Parts: sequence; C-alpha cells; structure tokens
Amino acid sequence: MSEIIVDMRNIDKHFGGVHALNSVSLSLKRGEVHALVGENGAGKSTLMKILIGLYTPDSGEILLDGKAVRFRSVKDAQNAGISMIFQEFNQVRVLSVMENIYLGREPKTALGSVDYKRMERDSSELLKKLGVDLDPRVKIRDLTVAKHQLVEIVKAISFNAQIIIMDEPTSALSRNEIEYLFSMVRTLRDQGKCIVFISHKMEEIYSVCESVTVLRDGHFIHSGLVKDISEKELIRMMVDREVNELFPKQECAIGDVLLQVKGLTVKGEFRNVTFDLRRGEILGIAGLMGAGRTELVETIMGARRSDAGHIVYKGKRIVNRITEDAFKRGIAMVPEDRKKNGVFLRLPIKDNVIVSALKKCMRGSFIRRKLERKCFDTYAEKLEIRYSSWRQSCKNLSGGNQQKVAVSRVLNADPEVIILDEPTRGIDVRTKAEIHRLMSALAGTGKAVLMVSSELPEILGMSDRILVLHEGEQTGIVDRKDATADRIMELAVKTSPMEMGA
Amino acid sequence: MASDKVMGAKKSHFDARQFVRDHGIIIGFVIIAVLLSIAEPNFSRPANLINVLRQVSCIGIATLGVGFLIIMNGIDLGLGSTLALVGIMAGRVVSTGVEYGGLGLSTPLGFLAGIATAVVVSLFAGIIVAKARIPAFIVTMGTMSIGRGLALIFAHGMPVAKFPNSFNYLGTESLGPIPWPVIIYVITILIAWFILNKRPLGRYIFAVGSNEEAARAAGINVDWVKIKTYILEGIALGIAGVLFAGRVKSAAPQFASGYELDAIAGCIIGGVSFSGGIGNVSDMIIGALLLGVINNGMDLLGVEAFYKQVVKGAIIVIAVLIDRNRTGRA
Repeated sequence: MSEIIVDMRNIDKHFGGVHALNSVSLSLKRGEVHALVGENGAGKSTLMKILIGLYTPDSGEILLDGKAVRFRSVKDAQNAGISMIFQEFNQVRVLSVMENIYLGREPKTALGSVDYKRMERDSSELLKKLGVDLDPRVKIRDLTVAKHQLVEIVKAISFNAQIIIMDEPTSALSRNEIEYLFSMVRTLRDQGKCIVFISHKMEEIYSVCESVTVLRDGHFIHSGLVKDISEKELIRMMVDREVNELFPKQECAIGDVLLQVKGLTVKGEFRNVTFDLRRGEILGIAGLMGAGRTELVETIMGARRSDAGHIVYKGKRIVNRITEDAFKRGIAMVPEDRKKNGVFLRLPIKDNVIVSALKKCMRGSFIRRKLERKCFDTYAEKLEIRYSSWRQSCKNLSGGNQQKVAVSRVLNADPEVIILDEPTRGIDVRTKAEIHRLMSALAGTGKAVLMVSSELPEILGMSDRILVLHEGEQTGIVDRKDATADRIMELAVKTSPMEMGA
Repeated sequence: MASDKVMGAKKSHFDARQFVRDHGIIIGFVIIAVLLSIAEPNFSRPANLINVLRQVSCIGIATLGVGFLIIMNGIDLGLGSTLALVGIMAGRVVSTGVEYGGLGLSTPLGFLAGIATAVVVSLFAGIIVAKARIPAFIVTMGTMSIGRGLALIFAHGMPVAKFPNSFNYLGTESLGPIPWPVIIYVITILIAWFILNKRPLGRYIFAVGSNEEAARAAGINVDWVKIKTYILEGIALGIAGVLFAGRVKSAAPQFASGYELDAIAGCIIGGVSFSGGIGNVSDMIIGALLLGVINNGMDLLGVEAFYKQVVKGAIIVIAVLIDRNRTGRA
C-alpha cells in the first residue's frame, strides 16, 4: 500500500514580486493520510491549488501514476481523480444533498429531464458506502456545517477521486463531529485513497495522519512519518523557533467586577446565563457547536435582543440596543467569522484598523492623516501585522494577518471589556501564540476579556474561569485550578452525549 | 485560506498593464477627446467646452449623490423622477403664471422647496431601505414611479413655466466666462470630497458598502449611516433639480427621465464599484465628464439620437467589464 500516486517535483510559483513556492516537492502515496503543515502564507494552499489545476506552476512537474500531467482546470484534475474540499464550500443552499452532489452532471431520463430517481438511488448508495446517515433529499440549508463537509466529501468520492485534499476541515466542527470526520478519513484511507490534510492542529495531525510535509515561507522544510517526529520539533520546523508556551496566560491581579450578566435569555438560543467578569480576568466560554456561545456574546454586544435578564456594567444597568452602544461604553468584540463580519475585505487595512474609533483620528471636524498614521502604526507594530502598504486592501493579507487587523480595530477603540469569539480559528501557530500573549497582556493592564473558543487547550490554557454552555443552558463555571479537559467536556455534553451534528 | 501572497505584491518596475487597468478611464477620456477634436474642430473650441461643462454640471451633481449611494452598496433608480418633481415643486412655488398654479413666491423659497422635496423623497427611500432592510433597488424602483406620479399630479400633467429671472439666473448666467452651474458643481464636488474622505460618515459609507455585517459588528450605526447618505443624495438632487429647471426656464413632469441611468453609468464608468466599498469623488467626476463629452461629440458629429443610446449603453457595459476585471469579480 505504499505506491506513490502523485509526485510534485520542484514546483515554483511567483505571484507578482512574491515567491510563493520555491522549488517545493511533495510525494503522496496511496492509502495514506498526509498532513501538510506550515504557517499561514507558507504556501500550502498555493501548492494544493497547483495540484488541482487552479494555478499553473512557473516551473516544476507533476507526475500522476508516473506520468507527467498538466492540469489546465479544476475539471481536468477532477477527471484525473483529484478533488479539493475548500474551507468555504461551494454549495447551493436551496438545493438538496443529491442535487449538490450531481450539480452540473445530473443523470438524465430518455426525455432529457433530470432523472431524480436515479439521482436519489446513486446518492443513497454513495452515502451508504461511506457510512453516512443522511437523507439525500434534505436541503443543504437545513444541515449543519459538519454535514456540509460530508456532502463535499461524498461529492469528491462521486467523482471517483483518488486524492482528496481537505483544507482545515475541522475548523468549524465540534469534537464529536471531528471524531466522525476522522473515522471517515480512515475509511477512505483503507479504501486506498490518499488524503491530504491541511491543518494547524497538532492533536489532529497526530491522531489521523501517517505522513507529514512541512512548508515554511514557500520552501520545502521536511517530509516524513508523523511517528518519527515530536510535536515540538514539528512546531519548530513550522515557525523556525521554539514555541514553548502556546497559552501564556500570566498571573495577574484580578480586580473589581466590571461586567455582570444576570439571567440573560434569548429564546431558542440560550437561557438564564449569569456570570461576573472582573478586571484582569479572562473568562472562557466553552461549549459545542450550537451551544449558544456566539449568540450569548452577540447579545451582550447588542447585536441581538434579549428576552429576559439584564447586564450591569461598572455598577450600572445598561442596555445595548446596537453594537454602537457597546463600543461607546467600552465593550468591543472581535467576531467569530473574519470574512463574514470581522474585517472589511475591500477596504484598505488602515481603514479597517481605525473605523471603530474614528474620533481618535479627528482634530476639529476632520479626519487627519497624521492621526490615522499614528493609530495605524501603533497597532501594526504592536501586533506585528505584515503588510506592504497601509492602503493595501485587507483581502490581500493572510488569514492570520487579517485576524490581527480585526483585533487591532477592536483594541483601537480602547475597550475595557474585550470579547473574542474564536480568536485563533484558522490561523497559524505563531500568530496564535502572539494573540494569546496579547490577551494575557490586556488582562494584565486591567482589561476584562471574554473568550469564546472551541479549542479545549486554548480554553484551558488561557482562561481564569470557564463558563460552559450546553444547548443554551449554563451547565457550570469552572475555576482554572479545577479545570480539566474531561470536566469541561462533561459539562459541555452534559448527560446525553450529543448526536453527530445535531 | 493560507495563500496570502497572491496579490498586493509591490511592483518595483513599471507595469504597463497595471497602469492601464488603474487609469484606463483617464486614458479613454483623453483618447476620445483627442479623436473628437480631430474629427470635429468645433469640439475643442472654448465656447463648446464651456457648454459641455454647463451641460455636465446638473447631472454631475446628481452623479455625486448617487455615487455615495453606490459606494454604500445602495442605489437610487428614482433619481430622474425626483429631479422632475423638484422642478415642478420649486417651479410652482416661484412661477408667476396663474395658469400653472404658481404661487409667485420668492426665489430662495423656491430653491428651498425644491431641495426639501428631494430630501423628503430620498429620506423616505432611505428609511425604508435602512429600517425595513428592503433592497434599495426595489425601494427606489417604487420611488421612481411614485416621484413621477407626484410630478404629474402636482403639475396637472402640464409643464410649469413663467419663472422669475432670479430663479433662472443660476441656471443660465455666468460669472465671467464660467457658468454658474459649473461653479456650483465645483463647490458640491469639494463638499462631497470632504465628506467622503475627511468626515467619519465617509468612512462609514465605505465600511457599509464593503461589508454591512462587519460594519454592524464594528459598532457603526449602519441604519443611521444609510439614512444620512440618502439625505445627502436628496440635497444633491435638490440642487441639481433647481439648476436644471432654471437652465431650461421651465419644468415638466416628463423631464429628466432616464437621468438615473446617466448618473449611475457615470459612477460605474468612472470606476465606482457596483458591488460597493470602492470609488471616490474623482471617479464620479470623470465618469460624468466622459458621458458629457461623448454626448456632445455625437451631437456635433450629427449622430442620430437612436445611435447615441446604443453607444452609451455599450460604454456602460464595457465599463462594468473593466470594473469586474479590476476588483476581481463584482
């Protein structure tokens, strides 16, 4: 089972003046799960997009089953048995699972109309083969993110894909869902397929992958078996330095109560949530997907209306009608989904950074360039944002840098309560460590931090206390000293373990 | 996604394609102007150029108004009918003709009535767009019909005329060689530039246009930004409407039909992105000027009105193609 299926040799790729890939090689074998790791911007996605024919390499060659190939389009690659599952799925939400699987190549009846019967039969068969319990007639919009992913995988299989590339497939999944995905990945592997697994999460790489290839700044660094390399070594290869402490929450004095949430309820989302947040404290909010964590913090921000309960801030009862109210009071949030509502992709990065606190850049009635420069430079330096011009639009930054821009914007508003919803989702190890350090530093200066996170190590490492939600219900608040992964998970799943993707 | 090094790379050497892509509209403008002055010597005569500017001024001011909306990812399809309604309302306030139902009031009151009319119409659209969250395209399709209908009602289906000279003054007279509409256009340009680039509202307009959800999450009062922008557009339309009525010394409910297309096209041709978040005042000026020059050139060359429509339409389509190329899929 160790036959080489794909050999990418000395792939070179430039984008304008940027050398994105510098003579990178990659060998993939049948029946293996191959981790592709590296920081954001290391060239992982670029390499994979070359493999699937989205980009053409400047030089180098690709051998498929020993024969040199050159894909001119994704369709070419698909026909050759290579499929990629992107982080953002290209699915038609109003169509059913089976219609999405067969989109653009629907089976036809003799009359030329779509043969739904056959489509359903074929889809069911595919789903059954993979052990997926899913009705092919259900509409995509009625499914959870985890199931969207499954549909994508099924679609890839339906193309008879031999090589399936998964780009951070677990970033939106809960723990149970991840386990399910992994079992499916193993099934595919046992069927002799090759899975390329792009991920930032060490535990995943160690639990599901056999081989690993490390890229850094467009260079090939290492390739080998996962069992031959320690986690520490792997991280060092990715960032070129030891990252000793990933979660460096430092001890700092916990001060007065800044924010009190009492009995807060939004019907259908969460009920009766009560907690205090003190200066110098990081309060983690843990729970599975759909537990109501994001809804809770959005309600505190005023983006959602509460049905019951109230919020006390600095001793006074407040009502945030819209997020503007929260920002004015000194409560600010970095949203969960960067692209959706965290950054302004089309705007220059400097406008992204200053837009939540334009007053700071004004003298008289006008916005002054010098003050804009000052605000921008402060955070660009503090958060080490990598950029070429402050007028560069945000979409040209890497995910990690975009996240830094979103955090800068919030910090520039000088908040006292900082809410971070999944602050390190989908960003590389180095940026992750930087953001953790920053959170710790913020707490150290007497700010209060509320952090929603799906990553247990992050929750455990960063939080002074952890509030756990289970399907909208507050199942407990755990102190740092009592917090273990088991304890948190126990509260998060409560008594009845959650069904996959329910 | 991890591949960030795709774009935004700094070019050290001169890139001709990039230059053309960034400045295509100005290059196009120069080429067309040069071709026109070769084909028709009258084109480049100062008197004609001033005439072009005069013609461009009214629609240019309206273009600024709708340009703000487009950057904000909004639109106003009712622009033309608002202009007509402004003319009727202002006209009836100042007209001395009893047969038109003229009130014979002072010119400043007429201006005020005209501008107030446009503000009310735009505010109405703005509130519905902002508060009911109905797409601007649909709301303003409604105000387009409402405005035209109101213009017909208030004018009893007839044109309004007999304006006092003071009302027509700004539309027809000049300060030295420069027509008053041009001066007013320049003043509105300066104000628009300041608002868009130096006032918080300007940044918010870009933010809302770029990503409305992110704007909400960033503590921007999005509804209020939308309403304010529609009010600004109303003011611009009010000014354009009274200047227009003064220039032609009359008003009719059918006036300015199709002007919304010219104004929107001006923005798009100039480089304001139809998907929002991108554009500036200079784009709105150059687009309006280009359309004005082409109109004038075709008049001078004796091109039939039917063909003019086709040419204008073609230019709009080309401009949108270029825009899509620039912003990477609109």
